[in-house]
Amino acid sequence: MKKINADKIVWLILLILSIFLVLFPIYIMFKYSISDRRSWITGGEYPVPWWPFKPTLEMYKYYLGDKRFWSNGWLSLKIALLTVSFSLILGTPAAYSLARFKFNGKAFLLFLILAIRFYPDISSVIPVSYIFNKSFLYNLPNEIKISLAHCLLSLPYIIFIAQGVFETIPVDLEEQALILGTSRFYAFLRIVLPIAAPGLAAGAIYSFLLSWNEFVFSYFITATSVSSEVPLPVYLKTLLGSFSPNLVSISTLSLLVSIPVIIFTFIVQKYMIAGMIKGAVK
Amino acid sequence: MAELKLMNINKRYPNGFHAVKDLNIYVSDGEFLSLVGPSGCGKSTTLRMIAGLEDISEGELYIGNRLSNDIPAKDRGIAMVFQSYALFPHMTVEANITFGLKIKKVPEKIRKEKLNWVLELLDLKGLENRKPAELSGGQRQRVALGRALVLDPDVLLLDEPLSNLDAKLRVKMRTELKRIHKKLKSTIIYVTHDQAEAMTLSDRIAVMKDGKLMQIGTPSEIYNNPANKFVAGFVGSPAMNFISGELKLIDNKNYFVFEMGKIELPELLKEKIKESIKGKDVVLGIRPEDIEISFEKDNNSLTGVTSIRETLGSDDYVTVEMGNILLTVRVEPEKFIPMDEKCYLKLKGNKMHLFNKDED
Ligand SMILES: Nc1ncnc2c1ncn2[C@@H]1O[C@H](COP(=O)(O)OP(=O)(O)OP(=O)(O)O)[C@@H](O)[C@H]1O
Ligand SMILES: [Mg+2]
Repeated sequence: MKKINADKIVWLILLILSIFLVLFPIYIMFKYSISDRRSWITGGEYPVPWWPFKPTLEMYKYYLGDKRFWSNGWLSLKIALLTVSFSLILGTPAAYSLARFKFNGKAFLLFLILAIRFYPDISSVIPVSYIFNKSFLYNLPNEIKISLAHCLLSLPYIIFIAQGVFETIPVDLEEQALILGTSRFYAFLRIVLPIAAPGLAAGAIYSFLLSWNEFVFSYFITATSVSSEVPLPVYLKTLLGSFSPNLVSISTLSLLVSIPVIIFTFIVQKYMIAGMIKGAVK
Repeated sequence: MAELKLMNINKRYPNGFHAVKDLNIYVSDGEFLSLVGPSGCGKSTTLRMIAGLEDISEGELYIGNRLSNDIPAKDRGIAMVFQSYALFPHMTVEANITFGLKIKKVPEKIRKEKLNWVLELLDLKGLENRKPAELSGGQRQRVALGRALVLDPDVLLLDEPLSNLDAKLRVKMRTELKRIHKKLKSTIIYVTHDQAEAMTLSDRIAVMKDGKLMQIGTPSEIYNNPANKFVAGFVGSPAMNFISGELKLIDNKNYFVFEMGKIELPELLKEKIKESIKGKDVVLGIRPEDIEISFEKDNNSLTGVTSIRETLGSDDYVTVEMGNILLTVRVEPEKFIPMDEKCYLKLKGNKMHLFNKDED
């Protein structure tokens, strides 16, 4: 009995520690975002307080009333949702074929799919932005260009995650559906996809986050664009040093940026039910 | 309703494994055929080829006079219950059972009727809104069976549908199956490990081993006239006794001679010896119920020592030692048999079987 308790305490401490690690930066950001001037520019005369002397929502008011923030945010959201859709539409069938069909060179193909992630984004950005800026793709709207570029980054993960998910679904289920009179495609749609949904949802959240936070590709692709709208991470970068209470401004914007992610995650999480496959086979 | 013809069917898996070899089976319309054999002998593979889930490497498959090798699974008029149930985990019992009917665009009213009929039949009432995860193993198996039955299939393929039920439910479902078969008159191919199940259910039994058909026949043919040692040993419980020895002709009479004695073989076996026995080395087979145990010397009997008595409820079995050879003998439950006593065994002449030594 005693040993179990000791175990529990260790787990609890680790849990609290990790929550603290995650929440502490958010606390710092939040503190600055609501700081009045005196609470962060101290001139070394007194320590920076743990809580602002006079909390203020000035910066929030400023950004929520800022047209550029809204239009850039809208662009970012469109890019992220398009990235999720493109990656799922392209990645799910690819993963399904990898999971279900036997063919030569499967391992090599998987290797190739991962290849784009073998070196830092900053080095792949040159060929990628070259392609988007120097070919007919240049004329596509920014959200399409950037989301296609983001697919390059998210597809390898989506394919890997989805392949793993499909492999856990017994082939028997599809075969049974075939015998009951469905086509292969219908069996995939009605049987495989619903069962795979929780795993795919995890992939969707991942690619949403990836796209929402992505800076390098977005920056280089929008650099040559005629449109003045840029995704939020790029917008955030342009603010560095351009605004006077810049710590407060950046903190506020960063927190605002995280809100859609939280909403998206909550929506998608509904599909992440564990044990979907239970009861299907003995 | 449909008859089924398997002609020289072979299955080679992509990895080169030859899982089914030259299978020839004819199943007549409405027949109940059991496919039995040890694990890995190709029962499921055969079923999957009939269902259209597995390509036929060689040979021809006819379903109701139609060459069906290349007909897709959904157009074969077949229903199948998988060894693994294969229930759709995200659907309720009701949705699982009516799935096939919906695909076939059966009107809602008829769907409901069939659903109710099957729920009643399989004792699943009240569970229609549960998901498979909320069912017991036996209930899942019955849902899988129900999903096939509602389709009124011409041919029903069952891959060990009762294997996960407890003994009582199993016997009940066995009777149910038989009743259902009588009513639906579907052609049924039933795969099982359990030879007792096969014996009670089937019109005919096909015994397979290593991808080959060993024998096909009515339960009594299989039991009383096993074609080889394998079939003889596979069917019947407790299993047939086997004694290795050789044939000898003494005074123009056939004798079976082995290390612990000799036995005169009945006239009945003379033909068989001429036809199918090659060489002198043979195996004599005799079922436990075809041996009489006594304590008085008799001519043409074997000598042994009683050693263990086991009871199976309705019958008792005594193990008799003859040197290294152990024979199982059935005795009446009331009968007193002293243990560790010298005894004499008389084999019923018309129930003796002879097999070639090197055959399976
Ligand atoms: N996809 C496959 N590729 C290669 N070999 C296979 C494949 N599926 C089955 N086999 C082999 O074919 C043989 C027959 O398998 P099958 O599933 O038909 O056996 P079974 O008689 O149904 O056995 P059980 O009673 O255990 O279900 C086995 O030796 C098995 O290992
Ligand atoms: Mg099997």
